[in-house]
Amino acid sequence: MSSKMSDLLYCEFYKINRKRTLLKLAIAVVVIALAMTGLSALLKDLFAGISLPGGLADYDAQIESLKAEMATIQEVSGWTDKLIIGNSIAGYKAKIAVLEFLKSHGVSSGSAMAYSVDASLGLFGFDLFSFTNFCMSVLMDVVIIFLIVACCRTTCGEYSSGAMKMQFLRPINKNKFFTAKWLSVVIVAEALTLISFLLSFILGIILYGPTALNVAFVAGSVVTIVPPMAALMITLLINMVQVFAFTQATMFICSLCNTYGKAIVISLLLIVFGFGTYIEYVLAIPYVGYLAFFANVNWASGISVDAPIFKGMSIWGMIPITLLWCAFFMWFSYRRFNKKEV
Amino acid sequence: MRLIEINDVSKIYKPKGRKKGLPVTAVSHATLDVEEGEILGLLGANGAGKTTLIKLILGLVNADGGSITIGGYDVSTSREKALAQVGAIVEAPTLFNDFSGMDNLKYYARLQGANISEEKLKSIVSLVGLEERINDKFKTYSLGMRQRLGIAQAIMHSPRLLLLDEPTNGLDPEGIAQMRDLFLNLKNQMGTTVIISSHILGEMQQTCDRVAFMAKGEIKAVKSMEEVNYGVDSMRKFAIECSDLQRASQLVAMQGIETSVQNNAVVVIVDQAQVGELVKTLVENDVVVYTVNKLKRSLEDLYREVSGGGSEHSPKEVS
Repeated sequence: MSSKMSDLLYCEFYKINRKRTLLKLAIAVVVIALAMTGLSALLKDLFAGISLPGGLADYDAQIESLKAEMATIQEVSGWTDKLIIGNSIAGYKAKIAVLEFLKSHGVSSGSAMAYSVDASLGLFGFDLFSFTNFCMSVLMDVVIIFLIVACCRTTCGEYSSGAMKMQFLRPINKNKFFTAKWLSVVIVAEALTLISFLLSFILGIILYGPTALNVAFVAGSVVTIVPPMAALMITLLINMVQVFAFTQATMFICSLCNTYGKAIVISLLLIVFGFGTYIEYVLAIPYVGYLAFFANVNWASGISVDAPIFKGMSIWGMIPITLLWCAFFMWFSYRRFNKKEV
Repeated sequence: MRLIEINDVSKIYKPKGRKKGLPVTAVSHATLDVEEGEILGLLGANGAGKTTLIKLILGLVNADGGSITIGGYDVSTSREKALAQVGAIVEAPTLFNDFSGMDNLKYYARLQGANISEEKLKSIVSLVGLEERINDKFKTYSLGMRQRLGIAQAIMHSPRLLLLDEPTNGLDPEGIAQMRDLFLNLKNQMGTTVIISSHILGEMQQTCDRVAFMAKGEIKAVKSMEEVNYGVDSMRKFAIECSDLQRASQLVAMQGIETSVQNNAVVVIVDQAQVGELVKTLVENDVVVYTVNKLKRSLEDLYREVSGGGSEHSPKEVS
């Protein structure tokens, strides 16, 4: 008579939902999405009659300005295609390419939202589903805060309160026990990611309608159009992989801490501000090519990258890399949790 | 049949991280066997190593040497199997504050992997006297109520072995008596083996079959309650209440028996078989004997004896 994995998972869900947390989170997601919908609609009405000065000609001014900035940097630094973090010649080239692309497709200035997969690598994406992306990014912050709190509470919180000791009096396998904890948080966080995505997408369609030109990925001066639905699916997949990786990283931090407060502060600081950037780099690798990325890493002066060769939308390279370091952190976390005495 | 075998177990707590200090030996080369169906008391002052020994038995901390088996299963290698038939509370029970008492019990029943019906849970709740507050949140419970709920979660799956660390902490005298009856009933009716750690001597004396005396991490002695109460040989302490204490005392002393007068009685230490003869002598010398009582030895005295003297944290006598 010992605990089965299903019993352990049931217990973890029971705890996560002990204050109707899931219901509250789902309500929070809907409320935030609707609030953003209202705000977006209000702004749309407010700016409906306003046309941007210069229309398509505005692009010319922006392009000229960027070229001038780029020339100045090249002159001052004496470098050609080298970069300092966050301000690359490759980045300038990509921005210019984006603007020229938008101009050639007659997209009015200000209606496209550019986002950077990694600006310093000269890799850009921009889309016209701006509401979907904006809404999704805000909701993902809610999901990430949830998973950090849930991970810290279920491990360090129980450890410091003594509840972990009470549970270890039962015939439970420690590995299964921690797997259940990790899995329950991952399942809930992934489900919330999916809900957030669907909600953002549906509201985006209702508000702004579908469009033919949705996402373009730019590397160097090459612009590639990606089919709208494929791009959205990729966005969803990237978010889901990020949630998975964030959960594992939080568990790793929790395995190093003994108190709830310490774990939550370190997780928020490292994950939101530091680790997030690292994950971005990891996710960017498949786009620029593994060798191109590593060959140009110069740890002494930051990251130096020549305009990378675009290798297409191969997100499949991202998954094994992310899973690899997740597996390492998981192995380390298990070792730490197993050695902990209560 | 032996249920628990503790063989030369030690536990040393080393200072962690930036903490400076010397390693602390919490348990040192402990060896102890516990028979199925007995109630064993672990008696010792604060810091004697009782809780650490219980934690070692439960696999909550890793031993630095030796081995522990429960029902033939080694705790370090087959922890799940070893703990499958164990119920326990260690230190103050910390259940989930946001859950009600009943939700906590349901949670732990599921964690145990046992199929425990709601009716059984209710009967356990009634056994520990928590019926009226079982649906209130755990955070609203007093220390005594928390202890009762802790005991309920320990016994709800009818364990073969019950390990209780200071189980009567925070309980009122009526609660202590209730719990004592509960443990004795579990032993008598279900054959449950119980290990109780405490520093309250009266509680141990009334509940246990055997007592293990611990001091400074070592098991100094293990005595049956018969040995605790009356000593290991046939010599016993008797109090003789009689009409003339001085005369009686002289008559006893003339027979070469050590004697003293305490609480209006002549106290003698003699072989049990000699008592009749002694009373006959007193009566023949015109001393009227009212009563002869066999005196129990004080557990406190025995504790001091085996632990090598008293300490400021020595166990306390509670009547």
